[in-house]
Amino acid sequence: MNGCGACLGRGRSSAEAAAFLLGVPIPGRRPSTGTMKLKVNGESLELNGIVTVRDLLHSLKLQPGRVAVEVNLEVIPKDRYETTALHEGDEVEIVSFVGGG
Amino acid sequence: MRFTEEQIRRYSRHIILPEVGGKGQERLLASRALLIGAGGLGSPAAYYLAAAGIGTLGIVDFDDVDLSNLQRQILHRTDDVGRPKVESAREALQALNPDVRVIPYKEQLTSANILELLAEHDVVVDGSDNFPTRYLVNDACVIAGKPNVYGSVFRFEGQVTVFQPGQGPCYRCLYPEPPPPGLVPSCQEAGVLGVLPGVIGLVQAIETVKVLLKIGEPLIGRLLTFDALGLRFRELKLRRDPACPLCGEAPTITQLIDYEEFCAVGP
Repeated sequence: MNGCGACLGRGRSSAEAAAFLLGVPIPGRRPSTGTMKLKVNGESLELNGIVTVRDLLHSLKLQPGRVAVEVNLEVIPKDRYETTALHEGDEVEIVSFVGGG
Repeated sequence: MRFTEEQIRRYSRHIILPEVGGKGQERLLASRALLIGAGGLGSPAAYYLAAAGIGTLGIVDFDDVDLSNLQRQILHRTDDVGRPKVESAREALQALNPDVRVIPYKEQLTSANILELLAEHDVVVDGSDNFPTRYLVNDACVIAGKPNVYGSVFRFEGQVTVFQPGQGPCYRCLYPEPPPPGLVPSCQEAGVLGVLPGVIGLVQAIETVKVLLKIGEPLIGRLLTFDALGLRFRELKLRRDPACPLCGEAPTITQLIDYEEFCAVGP
């Protein structure tokens, strides 16, 4: 899985790596443009290899079950983390479940 | 209602505020707030709401006072260890302000009793310590149309908002379902900085007074998060989710759910 920016390029077959470098979409995956600028909890982040919400959570080392995610004010249902693509400039808010009193 | 001489003195700093005034103070004295929990959040919230002259404070808490509570639950004293929290809360609040009628409910909040309790109160202050109760309170408030002044804490982090049915989102618009059992530790398991619920509980008290007086801009549709270590507040805009399973356009949750207590929730 191309989850974290640091391991981009690793774990791919050479065909996939070549396709990636040429910007050719890999079947079953959305094309990644490499670096993407996002605003996450108000902070500008430049991230590599982020395609979906799931990738972002993975690269931030957050467990999907423990957070709620908003992209441009829209709450993303958990079962759509893997299919929701992020785009340059998206504003993402991630809040943790906090239940104590 | 006519104020006594003593009341005019007690509430004078409210009465001289144009936004409150004699009318507002009368309204507060006639108001009924239901506190869910007399713990870390409920303690500071109840203390200030009593001081402010909220006429009726219902307090739901099933627990007895434990020594480990006293690091943050300021309604209770060392001598109260082992007593029901609602009893020590009542004593502390009435000693502070005899104008306030404190109604103790030493019971588990369930789908069987919550709507009845809500019917007798104007606003809910959720300071509970577990997810099953938070979802129950949220769902019941949406069904009953009561404002829910929500606060929660964990380690060094707090969250606070106002869920006002019909005017903004509900808890499920943000978190549609409870976290999987065991995934999110409780304060008992993970700890909480003792002063932190003071900050969050008092923001809840402020919002409760504003909701009752209908003044200012309550935290409706805004989740305020507080990071005690970085000493930062952040505000997250919340929108009502049309697909919300509870308050959305095609709700799938139409009755109250008693989720199972899935992690140890201590005193």
